[in-house]
Amino acid sequence: MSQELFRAAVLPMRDYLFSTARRILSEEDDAEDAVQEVLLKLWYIRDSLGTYDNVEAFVTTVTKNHCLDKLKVKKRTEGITDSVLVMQSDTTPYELTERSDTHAIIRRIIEQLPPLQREIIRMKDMEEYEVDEIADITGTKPDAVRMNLSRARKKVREEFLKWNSV
Amino acid sequence: MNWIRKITLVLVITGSAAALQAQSGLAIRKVFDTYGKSKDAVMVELSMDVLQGYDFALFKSITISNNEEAARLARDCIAIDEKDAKKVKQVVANGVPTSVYLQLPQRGKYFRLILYNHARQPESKVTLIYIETEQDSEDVLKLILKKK
Amino acid sequence: MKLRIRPTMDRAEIDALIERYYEGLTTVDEEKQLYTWLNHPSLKGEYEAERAMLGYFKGERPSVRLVSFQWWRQVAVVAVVALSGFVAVQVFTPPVQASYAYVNGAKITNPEQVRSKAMASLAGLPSSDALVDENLKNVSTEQLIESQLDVFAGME
Repeated sequence: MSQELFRAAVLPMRDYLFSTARRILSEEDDAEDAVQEVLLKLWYIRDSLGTYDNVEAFVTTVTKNHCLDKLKVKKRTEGITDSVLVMQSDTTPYELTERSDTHAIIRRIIEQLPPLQREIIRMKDMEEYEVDEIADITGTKPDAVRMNLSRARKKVREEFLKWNSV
Repeated sequence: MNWIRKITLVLVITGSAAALQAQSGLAIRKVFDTYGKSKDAVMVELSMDVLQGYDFALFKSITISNNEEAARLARDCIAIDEKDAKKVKQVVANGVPTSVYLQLPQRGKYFRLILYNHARQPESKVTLIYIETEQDSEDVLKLILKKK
Repeated sequence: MKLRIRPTMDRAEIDALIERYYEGLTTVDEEKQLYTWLNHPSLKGEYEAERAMLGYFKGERPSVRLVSFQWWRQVAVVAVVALSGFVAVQVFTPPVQASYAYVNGAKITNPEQVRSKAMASLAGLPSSDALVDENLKNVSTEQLIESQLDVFAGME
């Protein structure tokens, strides 16, 4: 039932959500990422969508807030390179030495991925959603999902090789 | 090298066996492990006890004040454990969940719940609670969430 | 029939599959096959990144319910062997009687005090009524959001 609600009430709002995101974020790419992130977020909480009297209003508010948040993060991290972001880890060297396994490293790297890539890699590799399904949920084309997935996987490899050479 | 690593891991594990077994496989365990004994944190573990009129097999909670990094970790762990959840209730503000209630699938005879809240007023405080109970988790949730 | 991997031919196949993996083109079955291949002893020390990635996702999947990580399973066996009589990673074992609390790192074992700390943590959760109110509050701040948008519109 929650899947139907998601498709019937949330997905049709996509164009509206995109233009809303674009007004806040200016960049089309950022807006597109934001909309996909929001849709994936809403997909995960689809079971509770039915508890809201006005789903459309809720979805709109979530989108606006998500974009404002994204804008704040963007301003804060402007000028900081990716490699610095990865090294800003709350995992102490002691913890990593003690755990000392690739699992912890990979998890850390995934946590540091841009939100959309992180979510897509989780949906594909952990939840085993097909690329077509993810495209369906986010209202995009499978090629777009594949591109994000490809970027995410390559980034994980790149960062893993950096960590492993330390 | 491999067996040394394994023994080290064994020692780490057996040091926290009680907590381990209750939350084996749950990401939130990391929050308890990382912040349980730190400043500005209160961690509680109750076994086979009674609170507010309902009995439970395990009650484990942690509250952490004024620590955004802990809040972020808790949110990330919740997002992972959420994937297994049977039911999810959330309050979202500014695109970020401020309260999350997860009902996890039963493990044997135990119902399992995870409860998370991040309050910002009067100060930043993260509350994370894990419960194992033989009572129906729906009833337990209603009891916990009834108006105080 | 021996299942030994012949290095030259199958390595090309592995490399091709890995390339497709990084392009996001592999199916779930292909990735499972790749994982199996990469764990062959003859490839030890190579393809570290790919093995780590595929192994991680395999370990994190919800289907592996009771024990999340494979290394965990190995360690559990070692724990049982190395420390006899100790309760290892057994989910259905009755929980050990243990009530305690840590406040700012200091341990408390007095049952009444521990219980009151537990009650205090429950008080940190909003009631279900408060949950509904919070949602309504979010919806009604739409007007506030609108005025914020005007600020950003002026920044073009």
